[in-house]
Amino acid sequence: MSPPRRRDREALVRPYLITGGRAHPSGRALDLTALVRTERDTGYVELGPEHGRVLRLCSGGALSIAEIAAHLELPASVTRVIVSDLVDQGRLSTLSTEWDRHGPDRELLQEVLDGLRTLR
Amino acid sequence: MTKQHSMNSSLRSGPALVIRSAGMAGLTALAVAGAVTVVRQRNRITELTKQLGEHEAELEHLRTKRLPALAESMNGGTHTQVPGPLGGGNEHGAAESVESLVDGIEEVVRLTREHVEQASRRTLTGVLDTVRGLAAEQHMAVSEMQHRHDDANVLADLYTIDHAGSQLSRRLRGFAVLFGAWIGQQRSATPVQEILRGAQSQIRDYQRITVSAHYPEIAGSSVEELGVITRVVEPLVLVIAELLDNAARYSPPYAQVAVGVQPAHNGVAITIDDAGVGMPIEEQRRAERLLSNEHVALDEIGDPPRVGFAVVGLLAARYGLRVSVDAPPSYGGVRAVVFVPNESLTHVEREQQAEEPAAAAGEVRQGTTSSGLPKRSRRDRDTTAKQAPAAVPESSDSATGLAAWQQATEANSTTAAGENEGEDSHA
Repeated sequence: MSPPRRRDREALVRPYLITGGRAHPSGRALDLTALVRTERDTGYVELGPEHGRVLRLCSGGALSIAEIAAHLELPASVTRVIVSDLVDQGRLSTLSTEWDRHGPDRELLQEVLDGLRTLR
Repeated sequence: MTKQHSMNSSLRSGPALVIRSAGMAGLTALAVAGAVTVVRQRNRITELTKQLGEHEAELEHLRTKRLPALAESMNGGTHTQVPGPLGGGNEHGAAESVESLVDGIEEVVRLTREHVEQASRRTLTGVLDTVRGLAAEQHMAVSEMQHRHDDANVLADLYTIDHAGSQLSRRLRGFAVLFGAWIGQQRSATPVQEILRGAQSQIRDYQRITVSAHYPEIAGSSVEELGVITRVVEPLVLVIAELLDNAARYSPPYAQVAVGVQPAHNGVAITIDDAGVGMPIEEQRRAERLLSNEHVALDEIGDPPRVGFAVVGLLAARYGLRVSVDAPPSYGGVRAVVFVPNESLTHVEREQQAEEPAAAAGEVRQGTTSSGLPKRSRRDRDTTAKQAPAAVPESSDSATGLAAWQQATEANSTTAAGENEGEDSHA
């Protein structure tokens, strides 16, 4: 595992701009491991380029919020706001997992952990 | 003997007569010459007295009128007219000598000012560098904190600090430009869209800015691929930010400011339209003057400093951009146009991972794990990484890691996000 690369410079587009100053997700709070998948990608997203990128990113299969955040190089809390916007609009759907019904089981956590580790 | 005597005496008296008459003539000549000299001297005295009078008048004029006017025009930066000499058309008169004196004074003042200006710039740049270093450090820390903390309330607070930090950074870069110092960090070639949104991030009323999502196709580059070369990125961000700030500041607080990109001859034009009340004509003149300046003296900055247009003008001149600001009478507000020439444009490779689906459509069904989690491959990774979702890490590490992970999720902590951030960057 290689250590996570640190950002060597500040991002030009700031997180508050990406979410329009909103720090709180519009819908219900989604966990970092919540899986989301693109329902419909109309190409043009009036919300912003990052919203469009999330839709394209999740169009091939479900991704967790932590994974999306890593792909976009955005803070998890900011990613959560973006994902929440898209879920509200029906463009993204959350996959109900065992977690939602019974809480996390060890096997699932192991897989998520392994998955997250490979991100490094 | 007597005759001889008389002859002798007459012979003797001859030269005396000659001498006497010669003496008379000499005296007369002397008298004439004296008279001429007296007349000439009297004339000279009159002339000198006149010249002295002229000098005195010229000096008095210099002291009471010209020097104060000169001082005012050189210090105030106002358009004070410095009166000319009293003159009188005399070529070698008082006017000319005083004129050369005035030139000398002007030269001394100019050199002194140049020296003071340079020394001041050096001092200010030094002071600015210290402040910029600290501000950059703080801004970087706030960026890191936003990645580290996964709490909406904390994020809201960090937004406030980040926003203030971005504005501070913009102001400091503006001053650096005015002081003739380095503008700041160099960035890699960046898409125009990112530049516009980056500029938007740096102003107070960023929420009133609408950046158009529609871009022209230029030289085969579409939407996200139209970029700006390294050297011009930071200057262009600052130019746009200053113009956006100006547009937002001088338009009603409820009105939007629209930013668009249009193809232009040999480049692109970035337009910034506000719905303000336009611009008074003297303000427009001021803007035009500042935008065309290639040098701004420190004493032109003003107190309180109004640096926006001055910074834009300097950057435009230095980096080959063309900027115009006008308020067409038929139009409600002010339109600023920034022309970026083709030489400064480039094709930016789009960020593959962010743009492409992370998992191919087929893979979800094919490769689900026993718990129903999708397996996915990451194209840019090496083979070990590709196999990784299915591979299980070393068990000793796994158990402790898992326990920590479980604990972390229960506590709704942010460890995972913190550890994974910064991955897959394309710098």
